[in-house]
Amino acid sequence: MERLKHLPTLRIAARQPITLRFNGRTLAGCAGDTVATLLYGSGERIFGRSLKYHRPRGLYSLDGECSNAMMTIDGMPNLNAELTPAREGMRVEPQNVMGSLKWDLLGGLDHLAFAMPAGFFYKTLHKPSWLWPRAVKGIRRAAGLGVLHPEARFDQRCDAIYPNVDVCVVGGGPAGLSAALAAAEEGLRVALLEARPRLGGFCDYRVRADAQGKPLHQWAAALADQVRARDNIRVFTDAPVVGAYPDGRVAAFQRGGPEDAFDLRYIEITAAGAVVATGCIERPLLFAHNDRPGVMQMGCAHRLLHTYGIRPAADAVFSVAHDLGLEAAIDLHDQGVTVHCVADARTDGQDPLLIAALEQRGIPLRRGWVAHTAHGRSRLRAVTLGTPAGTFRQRIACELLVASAGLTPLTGLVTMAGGQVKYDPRTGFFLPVRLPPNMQACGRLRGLHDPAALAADGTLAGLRAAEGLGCRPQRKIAAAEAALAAAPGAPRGSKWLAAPGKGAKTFICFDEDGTLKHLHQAMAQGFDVPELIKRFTAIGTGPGQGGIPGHNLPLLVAAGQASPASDPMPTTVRPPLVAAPIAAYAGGRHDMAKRTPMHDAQVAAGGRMERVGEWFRARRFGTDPGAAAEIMAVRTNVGLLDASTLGKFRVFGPDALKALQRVYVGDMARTRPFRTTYAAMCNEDGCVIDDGVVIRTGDNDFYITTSTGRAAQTVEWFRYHTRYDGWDYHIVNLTDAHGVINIAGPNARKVLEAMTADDVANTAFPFAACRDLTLAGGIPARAMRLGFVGELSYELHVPASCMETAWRMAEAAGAPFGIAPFGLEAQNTLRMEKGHVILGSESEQRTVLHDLGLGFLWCRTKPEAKTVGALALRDTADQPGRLKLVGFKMETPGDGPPRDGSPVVNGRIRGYVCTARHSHALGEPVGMALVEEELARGGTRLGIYEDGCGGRLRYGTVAPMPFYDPEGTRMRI
Amino acid sequence: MENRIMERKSPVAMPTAPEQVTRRGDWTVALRYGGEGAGPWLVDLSHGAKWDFQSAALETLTPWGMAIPEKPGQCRFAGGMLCSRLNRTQAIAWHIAGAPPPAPGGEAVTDVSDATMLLALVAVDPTGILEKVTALDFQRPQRPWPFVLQGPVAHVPCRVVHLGPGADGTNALLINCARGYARDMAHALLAAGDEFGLRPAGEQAWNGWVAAMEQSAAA
Repeated sequence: MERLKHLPTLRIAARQPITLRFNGRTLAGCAGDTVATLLYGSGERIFGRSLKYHRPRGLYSLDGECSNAMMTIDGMPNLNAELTPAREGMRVEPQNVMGSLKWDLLGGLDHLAFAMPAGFFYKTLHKPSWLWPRAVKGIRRAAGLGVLHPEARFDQRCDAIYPNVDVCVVGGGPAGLSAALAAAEEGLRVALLEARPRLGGFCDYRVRADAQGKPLHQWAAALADQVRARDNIRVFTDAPVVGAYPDGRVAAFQRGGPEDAFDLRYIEITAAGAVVATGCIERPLLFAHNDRPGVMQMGCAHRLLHTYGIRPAADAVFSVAHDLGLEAAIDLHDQGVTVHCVADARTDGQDPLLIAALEQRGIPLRRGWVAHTAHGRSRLRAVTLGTPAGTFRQRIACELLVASAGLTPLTGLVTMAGGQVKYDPRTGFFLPVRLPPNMQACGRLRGLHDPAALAADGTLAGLRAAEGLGCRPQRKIAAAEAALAAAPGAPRGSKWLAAPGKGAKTFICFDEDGTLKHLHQAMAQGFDVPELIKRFTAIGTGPGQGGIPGHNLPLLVAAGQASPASDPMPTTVRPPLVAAPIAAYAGGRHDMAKRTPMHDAQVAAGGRMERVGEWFRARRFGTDPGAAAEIMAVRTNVGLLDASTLGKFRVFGPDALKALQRVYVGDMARTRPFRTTYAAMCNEDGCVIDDGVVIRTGDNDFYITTSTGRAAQTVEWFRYHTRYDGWDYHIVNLTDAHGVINIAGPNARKVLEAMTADDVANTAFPFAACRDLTLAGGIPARAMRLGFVGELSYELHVPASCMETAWRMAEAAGAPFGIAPFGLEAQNTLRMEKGHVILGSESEQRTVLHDLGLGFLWCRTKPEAKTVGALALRDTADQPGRLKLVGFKMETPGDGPPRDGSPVVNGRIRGYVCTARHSHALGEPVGMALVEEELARGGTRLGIYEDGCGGRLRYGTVAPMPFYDPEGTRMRI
Repeated sequence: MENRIMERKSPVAMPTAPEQVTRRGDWTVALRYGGEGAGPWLVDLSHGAKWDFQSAALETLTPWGMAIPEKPGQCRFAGGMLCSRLNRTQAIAWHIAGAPPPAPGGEAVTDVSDATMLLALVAVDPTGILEKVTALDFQRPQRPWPFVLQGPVAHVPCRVVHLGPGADGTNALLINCARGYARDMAHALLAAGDEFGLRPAGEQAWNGWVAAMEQSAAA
């Protein structure tokens, strides 16, 4: 199709051809095209098939308001061709097509629409119950959009930015541009976000002159030039806003071009003030077969012509309800499109100049007429127009029907940020009646239409935003208010809803194939508010985010209700306002994780690193999932564990002991200098949240350790629970400051002796003691004798920067014994054999101290009200019906241990397996489970259900813990 | 056991090896990277000593003869030491240039040299890089340099000190976070700065910037 090249509003480079592949054919367009305009310009009229009925669908809007133009582009499904810039060599495929676009094998579903009433998914094919699981698979195969190949990879450059500004203006039309300029002139930092690739809004493509005789596109371009010339205005085009939030953040995503450093960019602007100038979209006209290819919105036809140089058709009929429709008809006529007729749903109120222009061109205007039916299937053949009641009708053959019921303002940002809208009977709009603090609304969003009014209103909004931030532009505000008062106000809007008929093929929602009939069915079943009808019929739940049905649905519901006084109620708008690619939210894809100083060395030693919370840790060394060799090395020889992820803190100050007493359930006054005290923290419910050791290192100085998972919350936990006391104490997070080497096994002392000249004999450094040692080379180390894995064991806390040196030293010292590293899997088995718990493995949210057999950690003589969780512990100490931690052994050891998390079933679910492993020390599988108290007695038989066991339970018996070295002699050697 | 050579290691791993290094104490410090050019630069300063000061009477402390800034957010730079007030009872001090100072004494002081990593970002206009990783507002005009902001950078809790523009208008910021995040933080910053030409630089470039800033301030 030959493009028009002489138009002043063109935004394509007509002399820069580009080609793409669509459905196996090569099509040509030009630079500046979107995929949709290139296809349309190449003569394609069917873009895809609809979700349920597989009806042919074509170009309807140009702003991605519905799923008609969703396509698979370069392998990525569900991209909206209306919003995707065409690039050389793109591969474009239509979606939801079985067969060809013109002859879809499932097209017959359209005739079975009667079998898919409102609420189909909730009511049909559910009895007998076995039917639905089978039916739903077939339904999903037949219906849907694009298909993502599981192995698809996309080399998209994604990015994110988080700019700070004083005022964020959303919308780059005349009002938004004026608002940005006004705020910037007050010296504020301004960001301007525009969804389309160009500024100018609905004036960008209009050649009609303003009151001064200047074409509107020139006027808008001049405003845009002023904005771009300001250093303190940042302009983001092609950046649709997805959300605005009460804390002042505005989120958008931006599509980048080849010249940008990104393909997709998430933008999260923090702004002290916001101006919403998002304008309007069109309210779809409802009539039979209003979804046929060849039916499009007035803005779509107008922009195809003026922005892309494409005559939408050779001949057209207009059924509109706004002056913009009359203007589009005139412009299409002037560029060679035969306009047979303009039906205007309004009986009066049209701009006399436009009526005169239509008359001058010989275009008939039928006031009060609307489209009743579109004829044709894969292409529009004709349209029947008529009066609202259908008393007069006329069928007109045409290629194109430009259809629109008027405009509807985009108020989603206002309500999302906490504002309120209300239906205004004069304009027919949902207008903002209450704005969130520091937010202004202006422009077409408020019902205005005249360019002078839009400029004045935008200026006023920008100045008021500045005033809210401390500026004093009172004179300018007064001038803007006067200009606004002098300009034409909001015009009366169209009330037209739907052409007469049952509405079986009158589509309210293109995305979900939701019809007027579905709405009537839902209301007949008692659904009387749009929110419920939306969910029952799925109308407005598609990828167009309610763009097409968003306004018509509440109007139709209000009209269908018994009470004529019912005000239309819009449905709740939630982010994202437009369908945003998940990749845009992912941004730069930096997976921020912590690594210990030994990370690389462990990887080099064959460590299988896993993400554990915020850290990378070695699960095992080697391929054996049970880490048997590592376990046996610790039991019989000596092993090395990188335990650097443990939380480590210095707590000091005159009131440090009080703070410790508050958060630990034990009596911290009993801590002795350089002696480890095992201690637990509980929450207010008595549930265990952390455990570790406390060491007194000075009069008012303590060194404490926490579990890895709690380290990040520990400082806040202390501060929160002492916030009203005014105590003089301080806490320093040393988690990353110290690396921790755990040397464990019968030969551990020999290794340590080789690393330090200090006396580490059992008498000088007994079990549970803490010593500050100096390792060879002068490395300071705080050493603790602990026994988590049940063997002679030392924890060496060394400065993180020295950790690698110390580790190598331990490896060298242990080389004569064949020392080897061990990972979390080995540690897990070793400590389980010993009956030691890991919070999170042997506990969940409801588990209190007593459930784990750790009641001895609670000091009952401490003042209860002063210790977090103590009051609850008194209640739960003897509370019946609690789950208790028990050890168990399997009846058939040869079958191996059950899986972690398997339910314990004795007639009903009565607990679950916390951890179960094969014990190499015992030569059989053992585990720990939380079970109902009555099952906790030794010797009780437990039935264990494993996923995939086919209903055949496995059996174990409650056994005493610890399984290994119950006297604890090995830790004390 | 024989005395082994102590090797202290920075947690930061730059994508390229430095062209010139020096041994300082137990540290190996990168002096220069290839292709440093005129910047922008990312410099690893993690090897510098760092101290945490916590006291109910912070105003009475004068480490190295330097008064701790009065208000949270304020910083003071003198003698190669940068002291930042974080809140009512806490301040931090980093050694970022010149000869290492003696360790300050007293109960209120904790050596946190290894607890955190420290990166310097030097760029004429660092906004483009920073806004890709943080929502912290370094451009609010009413803040006098140097100042410290606390908040997420690349989703990681950080302290960021804006030292202000140097002699040639080049700005420097110090980014400080938990040591474990060092590798990913450097990666995130370099990736954010890729389109602006951000590259690793050594201590020489950093010292040059500091010297120029000090001369400029003295003038």
